[in-house]
Amino acid sequence: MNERWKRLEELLDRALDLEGPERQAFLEALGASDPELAGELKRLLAATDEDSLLDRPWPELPPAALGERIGPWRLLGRIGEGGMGAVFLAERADGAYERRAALKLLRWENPAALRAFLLERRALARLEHPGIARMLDAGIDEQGRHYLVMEWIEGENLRAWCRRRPARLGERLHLFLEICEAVAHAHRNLVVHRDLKPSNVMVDREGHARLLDFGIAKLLEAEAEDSRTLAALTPEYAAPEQLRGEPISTRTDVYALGGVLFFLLTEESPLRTEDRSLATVVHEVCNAPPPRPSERAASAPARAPFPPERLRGDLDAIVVQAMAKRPEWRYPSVEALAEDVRRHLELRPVQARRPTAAYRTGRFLRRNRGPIALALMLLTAIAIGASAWLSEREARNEARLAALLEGERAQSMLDLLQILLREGEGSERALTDTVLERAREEVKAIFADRAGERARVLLALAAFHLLRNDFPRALAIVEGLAEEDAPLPPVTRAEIHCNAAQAAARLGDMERLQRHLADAERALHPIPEEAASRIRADCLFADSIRLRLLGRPEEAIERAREAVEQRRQVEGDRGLQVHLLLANLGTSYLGANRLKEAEEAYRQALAGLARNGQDRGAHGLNIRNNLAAVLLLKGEVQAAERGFAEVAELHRARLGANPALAAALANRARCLLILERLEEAEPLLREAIDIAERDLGPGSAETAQHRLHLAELLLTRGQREQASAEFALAEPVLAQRFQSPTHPVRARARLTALRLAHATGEKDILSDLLSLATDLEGSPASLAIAALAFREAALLAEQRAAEQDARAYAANALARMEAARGREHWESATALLLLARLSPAPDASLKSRLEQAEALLAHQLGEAHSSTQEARRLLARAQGE
Amino acid sequence: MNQPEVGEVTRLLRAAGLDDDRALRDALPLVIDELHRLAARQRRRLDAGDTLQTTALVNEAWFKFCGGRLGPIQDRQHFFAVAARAMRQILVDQMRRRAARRIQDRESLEDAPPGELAEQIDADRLIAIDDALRRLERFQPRLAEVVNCLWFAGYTEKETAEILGVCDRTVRRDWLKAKAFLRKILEEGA
Repeated sequence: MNERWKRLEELLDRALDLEGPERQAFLEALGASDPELAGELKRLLAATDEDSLLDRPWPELPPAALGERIGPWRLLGRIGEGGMGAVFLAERADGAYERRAALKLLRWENPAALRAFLLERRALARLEHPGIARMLDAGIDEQGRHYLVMEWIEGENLRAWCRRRPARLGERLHLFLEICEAVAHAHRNLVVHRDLKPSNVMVDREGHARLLDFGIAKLLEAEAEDSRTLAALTPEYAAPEQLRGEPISTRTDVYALGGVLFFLLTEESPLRTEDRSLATVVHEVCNAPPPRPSERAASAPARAPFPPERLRGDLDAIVVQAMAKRPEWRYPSVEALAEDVRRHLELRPVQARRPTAAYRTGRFLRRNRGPIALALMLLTAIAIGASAWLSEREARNEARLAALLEGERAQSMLDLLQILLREGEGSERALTDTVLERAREEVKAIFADRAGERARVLLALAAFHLLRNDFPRALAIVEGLAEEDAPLPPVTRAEIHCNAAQAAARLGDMERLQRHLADAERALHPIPEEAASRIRADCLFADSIRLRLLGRPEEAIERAREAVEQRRQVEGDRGLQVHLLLANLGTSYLGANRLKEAEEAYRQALAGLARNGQDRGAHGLNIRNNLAAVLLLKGEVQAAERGFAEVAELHRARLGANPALAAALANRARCLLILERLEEAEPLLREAIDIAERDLGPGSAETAQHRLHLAELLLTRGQREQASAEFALAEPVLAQRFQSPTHPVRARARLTALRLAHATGEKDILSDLLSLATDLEGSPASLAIAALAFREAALLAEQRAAEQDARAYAANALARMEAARGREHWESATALLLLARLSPAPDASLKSRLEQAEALLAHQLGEAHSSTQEARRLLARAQGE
Repeated sequence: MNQPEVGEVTRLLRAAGLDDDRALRDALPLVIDELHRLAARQRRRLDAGDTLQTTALVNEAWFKFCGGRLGPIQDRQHFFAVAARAMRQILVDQMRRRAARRIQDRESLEDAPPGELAEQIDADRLIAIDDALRRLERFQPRLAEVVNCLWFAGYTEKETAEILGVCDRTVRRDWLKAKAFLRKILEEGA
């Protein structure tokens, strides 16, 4: 029996893989050998198509009737239909709550989302603010219907209120400030609304604003994601990142508040949606410039509550900044938005009208999205007692969560933090410094009488600050700990000093670095060698940075290697930290100009990160970028270009515009410039400049360096005037940032200045080129620029038919370039080409070197590159002779 | 610190399989919502009416787990699959008892009022499907499991695939095959 069933199932599988005539043929063939089996198979196949009881759809959920009970609630009246389902007026059937409530019966079932919501509910229930309608209950009733219950607000929604009240600008702005205050309160408690709009704002009988549906929109989004439709969202007030499915932050609410303000000023939604497809609307939200209230008022003066001239200026600017397309361009917080409205009311100048303010916001948080923000959020949540605020992401760590709630706080928290850190991307809530500071204070208070635990939690906090590159804060925390005289175990002491050393290392504070390292050593002394490997590894890591900063690269490499070994003892070959330390080893090799070893170390680190699923996170991107930089230094321009392109793409997809993206774009542009793909390089450089200027300011070294490259590109293309203009912007900044005129960046700028002067015919630069080259002679890092200066000199001399001079300069260029880059580098090869071209009768050794150069150029720059082509010409000429 | 290889729920549930009821109790808060949902759905699928309230069904199913009576649990997914089957059995047994009582009460089906008759026929068909499914379980346990998850428990294809550790496509294929075999069993009446 069993065998026959198995056989039948196999045949059925095969038949189901086939269609039409093929299946027919299969059945016929089977029928020829075993007609009975074929008959059975046919019946089975028929049954797969047939409708049976099993295809009966799910019985509908019973509709809710008045008087009916949903959980402990009794329905009193139907209020309306919302995006999520029907809304009822309800009361507690058991009298446990005396007032009336609004009960939402969800139209769909999305258990995962509801579960997350139930977890979050406790945090929502804690949102005590006069401007926020309280969440009272949520659950699943006996019939399986999902419901939410909120405080019932007597009053009218913002839309109705605006229609009914005479238009008074001051009154509306004050109401808006109330709304902001409520949202800000929620943000301080780490809850983002996500669906702010006039219909979610009630104005109560006393004329105060009360916000509905806090935290609920997440359910809507989960549903929309499931059904691949945006229908559940209200696109008029949704921010671009919501429509694109990108991370949500407090700035998503800032955007929506901008829309609510727009509505208060014009009584229209910022976006006109009538008669337009969802796709058009989405496109507009994501691309069209933010709407100006005054323009809308001017377009329909009869309907507008306020004339355009009252809205122009401040209020336009405030709405435009709040509704900026990119979160980082918006107000950094709801408080900042409210502050501007207040400034307007008090006739003080508003921030929104200062052009730079918009650019300065948020880069901090942007840089720190991802695991760190998530972990910090957790730390904070625990520190302020809102652990229920965690949602489905942490569901995997349920037992830890349970332990947290029950009190083994410190250890469990550390565990969770580490897990979250490893889990990589995925935070959706922004955290502010204030929140962190508050967490720190809370941690101190919670563990006031338990020095050991307090130290561990604060160390975790310091570790975060290290990770998010906030070295001063990390240092402040650990130094604060070091000064306490509570009795701490030596390992903890060592860890404190070790963290302090790391922070000091990153700050370049040598004195502190050395002191803390010595203290760490002292604390570690009584502990057996193998017992504190993790901390020893961290200390060695800090020491390797110290040696690198001191210009002792070989010793730095030694320490970095020991750090890797120590860490291996803790977590073996597969751990994440081992690979981060390997990346540090790579950087140490880079410092010693040992490029091959650096490349190897970076590659190993990246492979290790990939095994931990972290190769696309912040660390991974950093390593990828360094790896591409090593390739560029080695001369592997084509490979480097691909590397930078990949880094840029990952950055764009993962973290959005940020200075690291700008750097990757600029680096890629440099490669493209070398590869003679100028058309592709230019937009990249312009974007890099835009981002760097916005995030770091026009006076930053990064912005100026990107500009310098743009000037070089324009000059190469013969656009002299534009090149001069860019150069004029970059040069003073570089001179200020890099004080030494022989620093490679300055050296490069000086060479560019001379080339520009030559191109515009300003002056004869030959002697300047030679003195620049001489000036750079003593600076090994700038030797390649000296070679380039000689190269320019050789080209000039060639033009003037001063052949002997030209040859002498070219020989100098070649010697210096080879000293700077080594022979296996395209820059050395091109220097060789120049010398070969200027030499009338190349000797045998030059010929063989030309052959090598040709192969090298073809590999590093590509077959089609003009240098490769020239190498071939020269080779043919030499062989012809 | 190493990432735990198995989730905490899984650990607790595994321990529960080894007759440790305390571990099972520890796991309850972590799975109760899901059990509740499962129960609500099964009641709906089997048109259970007022026979057994959701909470009661959850309690009964839970009781079955205690003492390891449902055999060892491999992981969280497996737990829910087993829970779904347990609930189905509880509900169908309930239907059987009701059907038996009705037959006892009345000499023949012809005496029954039309509304009750329709209900009775539906109940009979569900009982028949359950019988067929039990037979299928013996020969093709995975096909039976797919029907259990997809049809009775109301999991989506994706959730079912996760529970059974196969891909979505396999679930769709298994569903077709299960339908065919159930049909065969029902027709042959064996």
